[in-house]
Amino acid sequence: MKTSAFNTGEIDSYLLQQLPPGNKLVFDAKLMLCPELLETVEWQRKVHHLVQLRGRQQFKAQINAVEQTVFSMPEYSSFRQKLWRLFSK
Amino acid sequence: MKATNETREDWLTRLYLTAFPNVARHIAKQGGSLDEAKDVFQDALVIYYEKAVAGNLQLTHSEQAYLLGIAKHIWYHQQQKQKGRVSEEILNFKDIAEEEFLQPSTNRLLRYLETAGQKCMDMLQAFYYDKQNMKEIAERFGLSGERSATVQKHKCLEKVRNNVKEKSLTYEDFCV
Repeated sequence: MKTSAFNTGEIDSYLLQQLPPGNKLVFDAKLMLCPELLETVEWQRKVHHLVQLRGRQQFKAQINAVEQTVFSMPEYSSFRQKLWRLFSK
Repeated sequence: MKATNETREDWLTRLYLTAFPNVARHIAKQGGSLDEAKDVFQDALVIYYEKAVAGNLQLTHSEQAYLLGIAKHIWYHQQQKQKGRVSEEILNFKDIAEEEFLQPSTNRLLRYLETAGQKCMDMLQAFYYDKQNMKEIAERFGLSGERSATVQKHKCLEKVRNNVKEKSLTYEDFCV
């Protein structure tokens, strides 16, 4: 695997807004002077975004599965009846 | 959830049984349907979970009351939107409620990443989405300790970043 010339951890700290103020200033300056670093930061930001989307998709899938369970399994029948009564008025 | 070691599935089941009826009652009173109540509750759970794991939550009331509050907020803004009243607050809110309408290119890229390295994606997700710390990640992925987990996470991040860059440049339509 090709490794990056840039510090992945430092980029992460920058993206997560965890760099101390002084280090952030230095990093901002590096970004202005080095287009390659800027490009790497943007790709890493995209990974963060994709991982967030994946996490949310998987969480929603899990919510759906739980919802299916409570709306179908016999042990939750009284729960369902209570809900149906709310919407049958 | 973390403090009690309750699994996420158990936590969700408990909230369906204890918090959903109040949300459904509110939506029913407002003239909504059960399906609409289910949709609103799902979005409320996502918002609640993401705030909770990020540590951005200081509960002054019960989880059930908090979820009801979020659900009322979502329902209100959905109704405003249907009436054509789009406010700045609604625009800020669409992040969660409309996330499903992802661009096809993003979904393709996510599918590609799944096949290219599920374990790495799982690890990155544990850190960036579920906000697990390095100790928890080390235990979950069978690594020797926090240092090893940190190194592995950085390797994964570089690998995925290179894959995303390569695929995005190879297939222009992957670019968002």
